[in-house]
Amino acid sequence: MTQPPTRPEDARRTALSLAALTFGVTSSLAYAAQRVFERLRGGAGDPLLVVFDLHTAFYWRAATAAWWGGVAAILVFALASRPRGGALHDRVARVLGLVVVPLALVIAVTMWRLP
Amino acid sequence: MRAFAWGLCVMVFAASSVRAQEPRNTERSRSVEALNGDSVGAAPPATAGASQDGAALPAASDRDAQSALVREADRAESEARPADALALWQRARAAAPTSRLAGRCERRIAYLAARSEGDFVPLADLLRMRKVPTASLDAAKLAAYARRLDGYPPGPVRREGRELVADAWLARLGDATRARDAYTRWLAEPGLDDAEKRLAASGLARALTQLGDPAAALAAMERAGLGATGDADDLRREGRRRVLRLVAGVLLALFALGGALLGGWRGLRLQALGRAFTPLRVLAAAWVLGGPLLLASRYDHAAFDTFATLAVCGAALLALAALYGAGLAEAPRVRRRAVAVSAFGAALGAGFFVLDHAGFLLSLGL
Repeated sequence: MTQPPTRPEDARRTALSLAALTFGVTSSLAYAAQRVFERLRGGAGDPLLVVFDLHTAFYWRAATAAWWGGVAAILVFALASRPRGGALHDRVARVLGLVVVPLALVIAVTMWRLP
Repeated sequence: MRAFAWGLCVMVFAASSVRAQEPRNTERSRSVEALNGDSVGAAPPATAGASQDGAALPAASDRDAQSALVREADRAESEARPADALALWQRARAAAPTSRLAGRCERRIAYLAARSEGDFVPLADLLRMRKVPTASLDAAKLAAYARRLDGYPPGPVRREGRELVADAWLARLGDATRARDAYTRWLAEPGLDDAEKRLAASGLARALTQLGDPAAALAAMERAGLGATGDADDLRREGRRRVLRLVAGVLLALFALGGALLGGWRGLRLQALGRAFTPLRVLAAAWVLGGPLLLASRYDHAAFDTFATLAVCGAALLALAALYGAGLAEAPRVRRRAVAVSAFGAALGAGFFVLDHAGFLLSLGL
């Protein structure tokens, strides 16, 4: 069990760390979700097109995913940096830890199957 | 013997050729004489040629006379003199029955003859009303015409008059109540065909929708057998949207008024502004609201207005929520959560209004 941060600077740094972690997870997941959606809507594509095709859609997907990641990070930062939030920090960290491992697995599989 | 047979064949062929050419030569000579101004015997003076199907074409003088009569007939119609117009159309048709204009003459004769009830008085009145420009059409004039219609015999002219009155009340004078009554009277006319019934029912539905009763409008459409049309679907959609607009308005009011009543009004002070709008919050709001605006407008310029409106409304809601939050800093947790939930609902409501205004609801299935 980690000790809740006592100083405001520590609390802020903890909240920022959690927000950064959330940003990384959520933006990756948002990108994968868009690809899954496109795959479901448009069907399987030719893998060769990954090399030959224009990558304009990739930039849009990445930008949208980054925005979603930012929104999730803002929410987590707002929750984690509240006063008397020591216990909350722990809960958020535990939930993220529980979620990150399976999510990373899902993301890895998705990126492998949907280049 | 063979030479004699050949000679006989040649003589028979030559004789038949001469006989076949004889009438043509005669016609040619008549035409030449006609061109020279010599009238010969029973040569047809009005026939200048033949059409592809063999019908005789009218002479130029007859076509000119017909054109003049057609112009006269047009003028008579525009001056609301249908009886004179009918006589002129008939004379025009008789002047050159095989001409290009004869078909038009036939159509106008059929149109006027089918509307001759009341010795053309109702039709003359209808034609006069159709010529009245929108700027000079007032309620008194239209109501007087509607009263005159009651005295006319039933028939196509009275039905068309009912249509004119109903459409004018709705579209030109903007009186949905009188339009509703006029469309109802039109629907009650005897002898309406399917097309007229559809027009009258859809006009009645429009009037009822303007009166704020889409359910009654839909019922009118279904009574006329138009329940499966696109217009009926529009009415159903409009009914759903009216409910959603009400819900969105209630959500916005709940946040604005409920938040203030629960103690958020304490945050509506200048001193609270500094606490509410920290640089980090402004940055977060810029990310949340400006991000979609930037992405969407870069992707499609036409989406800029919608996302800009969303951003402005969202910024206003965020600002109010932040001020309420500052005012409720010392309030019980239940109150703060209630205001937060109402802020969430208000954001949904504002989004609905923006999308409704932009016409994006249809693409969302609403």
